Amino acid sequence: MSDSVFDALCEQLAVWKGGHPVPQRVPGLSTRFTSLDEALPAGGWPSAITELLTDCTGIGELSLLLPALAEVSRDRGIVLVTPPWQPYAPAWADAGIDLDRLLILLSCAMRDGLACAEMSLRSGACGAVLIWESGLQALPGQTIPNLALRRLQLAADSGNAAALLFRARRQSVQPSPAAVRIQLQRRAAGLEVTLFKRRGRSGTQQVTLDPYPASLQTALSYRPRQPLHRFPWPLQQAIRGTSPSSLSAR
Amino acid sequence: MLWIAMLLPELPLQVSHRGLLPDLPLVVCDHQTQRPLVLCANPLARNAGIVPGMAVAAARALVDGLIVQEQDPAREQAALHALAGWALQFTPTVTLEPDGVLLEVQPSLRLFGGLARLGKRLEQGAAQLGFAVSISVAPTPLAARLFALARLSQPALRGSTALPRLAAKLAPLPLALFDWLPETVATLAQLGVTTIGQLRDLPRDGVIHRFGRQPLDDLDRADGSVPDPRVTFAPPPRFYSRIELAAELDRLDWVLLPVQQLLAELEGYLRARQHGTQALRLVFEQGRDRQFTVDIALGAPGCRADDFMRLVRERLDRCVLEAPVQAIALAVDALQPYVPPNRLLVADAASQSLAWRQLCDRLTARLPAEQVYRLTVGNDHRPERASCRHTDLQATTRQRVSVPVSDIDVLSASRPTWLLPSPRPLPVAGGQPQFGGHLTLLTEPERIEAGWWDDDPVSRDYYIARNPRGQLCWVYRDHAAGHWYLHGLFG
Repeated sequence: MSDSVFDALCEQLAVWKGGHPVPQRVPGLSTRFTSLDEALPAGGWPSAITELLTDCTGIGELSLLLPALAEVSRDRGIVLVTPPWQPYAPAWADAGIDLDRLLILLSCAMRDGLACAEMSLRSGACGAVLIWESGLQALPGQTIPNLALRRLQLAADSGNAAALLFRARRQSVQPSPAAVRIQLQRRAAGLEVTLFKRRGRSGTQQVTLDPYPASLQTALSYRPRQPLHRFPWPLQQAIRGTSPSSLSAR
Repeated sequence: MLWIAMLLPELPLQVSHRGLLPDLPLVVCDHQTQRPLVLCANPLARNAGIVPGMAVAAARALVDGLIVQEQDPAREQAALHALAGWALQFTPTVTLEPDGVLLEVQPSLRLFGGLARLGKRLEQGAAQLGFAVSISVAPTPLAARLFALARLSQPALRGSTALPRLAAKLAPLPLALFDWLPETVATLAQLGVTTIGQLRDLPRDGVIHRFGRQPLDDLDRADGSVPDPRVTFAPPPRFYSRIELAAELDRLDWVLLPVQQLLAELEGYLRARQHGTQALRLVFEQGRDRQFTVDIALGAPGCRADDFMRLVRERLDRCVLEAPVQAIALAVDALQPYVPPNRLLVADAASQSLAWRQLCDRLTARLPAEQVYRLTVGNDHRPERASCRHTDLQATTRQRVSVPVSDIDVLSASRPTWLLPSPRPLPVAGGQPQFGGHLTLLTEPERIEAGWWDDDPVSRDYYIARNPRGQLCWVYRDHAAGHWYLHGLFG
């Protein structure tokens, strides 16, 4: 077969050359981190399940998603299914998420939670659904069956929404039908994102990045002009240099 | 004037048949205690050999598992009222007959696309309600009723729309269609007068002298030579409809059929009044003093039966039936003005928000109350009050998040994405708090002192800290006793 005919077949996705990335028909939701966008097969979070395997909350796993969620929130809604803690409204609003289109589902049985997730994904009114497996577990160690995951993936595809599933690290050895599987771990240099399963690509890729927004970096590196430990005044006053209000509770 | 007659043949049978699964034999009997006789039988019973007029005991002997219902005039009246209330969405002039309804549709023809389309819609709509109707049209109400009755035996008969030709069309109809005394009809038959045309040919004085005024009065009213004013039906202020099931249903998915019929009635009633409703109550009666209630709430007033049905299905999915259902009732108390949403060709913001509202309704129907909520930013420095939960999912006012002063961008950025439900006390080792290891404080303290004006004063110094696992935490030191607490996590 001549090269041009073979290339044409490859382009029409009729033939896949192993080792070459399969071009995805639908572009994914851009993550706003260029290194991660390049590593993901669809150029962003796909309209399918992305599994994020992590053992502890607070290492930046949500900040990795927040820029993409802010983009989604502009015209569609977001549903959180059984998050481990309560979302703190000022932080989410500051990240650019429209709070009128954010719904949070509290602890519910796995069957109900998965049915609601499927309903939200399929409806088309939702751009992203975040599911925490730990919140759905009735007994520790209970996992979402693969059949249910397949249904969620089909629902995400039909509703053109991204399903992001947070699971424990030990699930990495269990097979799963998710399109993308990522392991997250905190290192000294930043958050290490290991993509060990990607639909249409082979091999594992590791990306290290800093998920927190630039404003938080500034906040962490901020040092006031005067050392605060000598003055019991509020921080605002120290920045503005105005006289204190009589709001001292003592 | 153009009248459409919708008649329900075998009304007692149709009323008992609502909500019944189609493969059960059913007869309706009269009220005699000694020897009840069969009044009507459904096709399955008739195939087994039961004829109207035979004794119920004989019928029971013929068919195994026969369902026998007593005729209930109150239920029949309620069914006619339900049909009339539903028919009000097509015209404001609806009259009740003993076995059907009459609609005056001349002003509504253009809106509903012509007589043929309207007739088809009426037939299909009545089928959705669980009724099989015979429909016919005529310029006068009595003639419409006669044509509809005649159609039961001659389905090919067509009504008439023009008044001048009405007399000619009425001529071949039999006199038995009128509700005169049987003696009158028998005597006229002996005289050789069996059709309306033949009666009209007889001399008027003679007929009046022999049979009274009623026969000629009826003929004149049917012709249109004498006016025939009717009392219009007025809908009740509250919607309440009840279907008593002929056979008990012990599975929830069988119950969906009568619920669908009730919701179709409700849609007709709401459309007639141009109102919608935000709250429905479905009561499933399971016997004496035993029932269970399903309350459905919508975020915005709705009137479409499909939307209600979707929510009812979600709610019934999580219910477990403890006893068989004997009757189902639907009640709606409060009505709100209904504005149908504009449907545009291209999906845009309006249709997106409609889809979002429908999703919110379905989620609240699916889960128990208080399990779905949305957030708003509260106007308070205390972190536990700065994030408020609301279980009413429709935001009525667009919330303006207060724009932070530019100097304090540092502060608004240093808020965690997760907040603990209540602050967790941290053990202290070597003067430093511990959470998953030794916490390293990364920022200078941020002091929050607020709430001295109500019973919940807080006085805390907040820090952002990191632990060896890599978690970024929001911890604070309380001024009251100097204890350390964990309040949030930067996810």
